[in-house]
Parts: sequence; structure tokens; C-alpha cells
Amino acid sequence: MEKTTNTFETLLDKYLFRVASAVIDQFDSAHQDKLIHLMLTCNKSRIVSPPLTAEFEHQQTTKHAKKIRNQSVEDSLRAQWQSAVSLPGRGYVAYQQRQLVIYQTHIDLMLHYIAHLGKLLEQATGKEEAQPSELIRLIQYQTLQDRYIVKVAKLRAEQQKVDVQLNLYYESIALETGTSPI
Amino acid sequence: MKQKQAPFSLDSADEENYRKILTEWLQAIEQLGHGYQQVDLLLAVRYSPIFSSSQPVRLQLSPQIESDLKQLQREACVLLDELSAHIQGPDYSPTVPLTIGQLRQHTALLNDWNQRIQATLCLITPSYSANRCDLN
Repeated sequence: MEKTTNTFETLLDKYLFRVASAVIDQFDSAHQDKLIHLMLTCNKSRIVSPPLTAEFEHQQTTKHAKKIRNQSVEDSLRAQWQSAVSLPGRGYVAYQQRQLVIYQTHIDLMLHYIAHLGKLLEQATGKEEAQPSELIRLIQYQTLQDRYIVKVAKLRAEQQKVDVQLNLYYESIALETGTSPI
Repeated sequence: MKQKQAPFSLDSADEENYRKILTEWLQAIEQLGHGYQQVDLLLAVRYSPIFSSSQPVRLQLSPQIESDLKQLQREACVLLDELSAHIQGPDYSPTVPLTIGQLRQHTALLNDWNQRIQATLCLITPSYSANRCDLN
């Protein structure tokens, strides 16, 4: 199921990126922020962000209590599940190795996006007389690329953290069994 | 930031209408992501050994519901893949915008999935159903 989740997240990321590339300069700044936020959070545990419009916000406020109560159940279930699968022992190594692969896949995808945005930036800056709208688009591409770069750095840090945990686990096992670490 | 006029190549809708459609699309894609996560969580809990009969939380997924949830997961992936392909190919030009018609079509497809997932989730447990259905 982990693989399916990752596939969905990857597909979602890909779709959002394609839509953003096509429509981002047609959004107002609030919607640009919303879309970029969506792109940056679609691989995290909660994708849903604050409501978009005033009337929607008003509706959501009246339902907030029920939502919080319902989410607390989900949070509890998720916490127990994550706690169970992250306990050292049987399945721990497989879980951590899978996490490493997921991080790497995500990093590769982000690097692809960064490279693609680099091409777009190159195309946009190649023009001699840029219109104001093109300059705005240039800034948007640059902003998005910067955010992806930051995200890659965060993912690499998380990947490194998992790698260290895994190595520590190997060492602890090696000490217990008297063999050399893997 | 100064707003750019949206190109209305296939529709005659005004800019305000275009923004409304974009907003609806954003909500639909957010709900898809949230709905998928709910399904993922439910299936994870269903398989988790820590949620055996001794645990206080008992979700009773019938084989049919479980099958429906898995089917919805697969459909979500296929839907996203098809929508991505629908926009443009790998060599697309960023100067070609999404049309209003395309956005409406995408929103409709996403909402169709969202409605089906909500309907399925409401069948799972009475308490879950009560909370979720009240949100609609």
C-alpha cells in the first residue's frame, strides 16, 4: 500500500505541476500562493489547507468543531499506526529502506521540476524586450524554482536522518550479535 | 501583484468567472488529496495488527467496502494520470494556457470521484458516517 500511496502522491505532484505551469500567470497572487502551497504540501500528511474564499470560510467556521473532532480520531489512528510500524524490530529495516526509496523518488521528481523550470526561465530571459506580464511570469518561475530547491534540501535532510537511524540500527544489531555492521 | 488578463480563447466568460472556475478546481483537487488520504488511512488501520479485537478502535470494513476503497484508490491514480496527459504532452509550451472548458472538465471529474469517496466513507461506520455526512 505504501507503493500505491507514493504513486498517488507522485501523480498528484505531476498533475499540479502541469496545471501550475499552464495557469500560474492567470491566477491572482492569492491563488498563486494557494496553488504553490498545495504543490509544496501534497506529499505531507495533510493536504487540506485553509479555505479559499470568504463565504467558504464562513461555512467552514460553523463546521469547525465537528471537523476537529473527526480529525482527532484520524490523528490518533495515524499516530498509533506510525508508532507501530516505526518500532525497531521485525519490519523496521524494510520500513526505513522503503522510506529512503520514497525520499529519493521525490527528490528525483523535484530535481526534474527544477531543471524544467530552469528551461522555462532560460526561454523567458532570452527575449530582448520583455513585457511586464513576462517579467511577472519570470518572477513566478523563479519563485517556484527556489521553493523546489528548498524542498529538495529538506527532503535530503529527512533522507539523511533516516539513513543515520538505519545505520545506528545496523550497528546496534552488530553489537548484539558480535558481527560487523552491514 | 498586478493581475494578468486570462486568455479566453474558447470561452467568452469574463475574468471573474475564470477565477471562480479556478477556485472550484483548487477545491476539487484539495478534496481529492484529502479523500485519498482518508482511504489510505482506513485501509492501513484495517490491516494493522495493533487494531485487533483488543484495541478500542474498531473499524469494520466489509470485503465489499474494502474492495470499493481499493478501487477508488486505483481510480484516483488513473484519473490524475489522465488529467496530466490531457493538459499537454511532455514538450508543452507554457504560453498555451488551460482553457476554461478543460478546467471545468477536470473539476467535474475530480468532483465525481470526491462524491463517490464520500458516499463510500459514509457506509463504513455509523459514527464516521455521521461526522462525514454532516460536513457535506
